[in-house]
Amino acid sequence: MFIARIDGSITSTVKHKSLDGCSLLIAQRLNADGSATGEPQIVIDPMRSGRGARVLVSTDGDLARQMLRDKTTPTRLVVIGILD
Amino acid sequence: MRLGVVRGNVVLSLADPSLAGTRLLIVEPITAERLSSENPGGGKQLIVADRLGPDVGELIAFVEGREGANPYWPGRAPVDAYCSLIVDQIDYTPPTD
Repeated sequence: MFIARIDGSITSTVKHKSLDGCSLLIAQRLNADGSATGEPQIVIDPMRSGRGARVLVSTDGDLARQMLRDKTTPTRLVVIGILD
Repeated sequence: MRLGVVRGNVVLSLADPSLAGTRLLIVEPITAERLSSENPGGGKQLIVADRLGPDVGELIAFVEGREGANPYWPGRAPVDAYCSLIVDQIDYTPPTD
């Protein structure tokens, strides 16, 4: 799990079928002091968090498979909470 | 998933049978600094398995790790990076301060 800031979103027509209807956000991983680290990541977001929100992201592929109800989904990162 | 630019592809003369029908893309990951630039990219290039067919220059998102082999379930494939989607549009506005 890691903390990230939502910096945007993407749209996609041609994608793996398991991603149909998913909200795909651009998340920037953060250090404890709020500074950005690493490259932007595309995350699945069932919470529909807004721009600038700080979120907790799970890297558990099993969770992604369960949430999308598809064992073949090529995804791993899922928003599992929004920080206060 | 990280974002990347398709730079080309590789062709194998001899390959694991599970890779039949899979293209192998050369992908340059996109850094935060260059995501909104005219010339996105900047990361260390890697090979990404693909069954969607993006062209050179197109932007994709790719998963890394064992989830890269999920699309081959219930079979197995020696894949640790897989093209999950082709990007149509990016809406990116990181804080400026």
